[in-house]
Amino acid sequence: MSMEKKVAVAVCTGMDQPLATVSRYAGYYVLEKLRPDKTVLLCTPALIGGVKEDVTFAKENPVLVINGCRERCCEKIVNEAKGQIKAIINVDDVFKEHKDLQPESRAKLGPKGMKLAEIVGELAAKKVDEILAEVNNSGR
Amino acid sequence: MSEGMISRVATRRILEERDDVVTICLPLFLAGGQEERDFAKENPCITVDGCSKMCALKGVKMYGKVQPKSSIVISEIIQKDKHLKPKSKSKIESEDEKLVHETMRIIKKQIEKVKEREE
Repeated sequence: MSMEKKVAVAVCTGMDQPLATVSRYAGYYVLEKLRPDKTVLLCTPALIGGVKEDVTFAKENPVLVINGCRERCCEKIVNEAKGQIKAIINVDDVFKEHKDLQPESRAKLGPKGMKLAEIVGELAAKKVDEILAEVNNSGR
Repeated sequence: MSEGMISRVATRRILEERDDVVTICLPLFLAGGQEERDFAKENPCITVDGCSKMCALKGVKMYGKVQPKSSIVISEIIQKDKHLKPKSKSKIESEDEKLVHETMRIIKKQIEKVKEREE
């Protein structure tokens, strides 16, 4: 019997930019509200620090990356750790489509920034479902 | 990790209070951002880690070839002062404020120590 796969969600841990904060809140929204039983938060600093349990988890489970800014550090770090990236969401791309949802600051997203985080979170939830459908089909 | 959130909030509040500290974007630093790495080499660095994995400290040492002047770990503060572990990864609850304030006090003390040594 194989263990049921969960999607490892990797979010931006940067503190410099509001879009990094949006990435984190979007991740928490999926993890805590939208798909709590299907997702696990991936600690990206632990991947680069070579923490075995985190690296193994990223290699053995499908990963959804939510990049904050155009530097795409989160994605680079997961790739560096040879994690299985199955889908990528770039918050800056989503923001381009919702220019009216400008977050207030990196510390406080405000109602518009929170709305942007929810939109990203909903996109992420769809990706989680697609990833798990693909993983489950390939396992049959 | 909820301790990571305490690390971020305490650090961010200090950044808002003072103009003699800056934050390095850790993911960018770890992913190869040369500007971030050069900055850490040229300026005294304090790491504020969430848990005992101490990835910020390890990352700064490993990838930046920098020995931080001070290292703070939230899980050690929780253990030492018998604080309650924060429940949420995403928001600070009122019962977490004491831990945030204690972390800020420790960070500020370390900043002053580092500044004294550098002068």
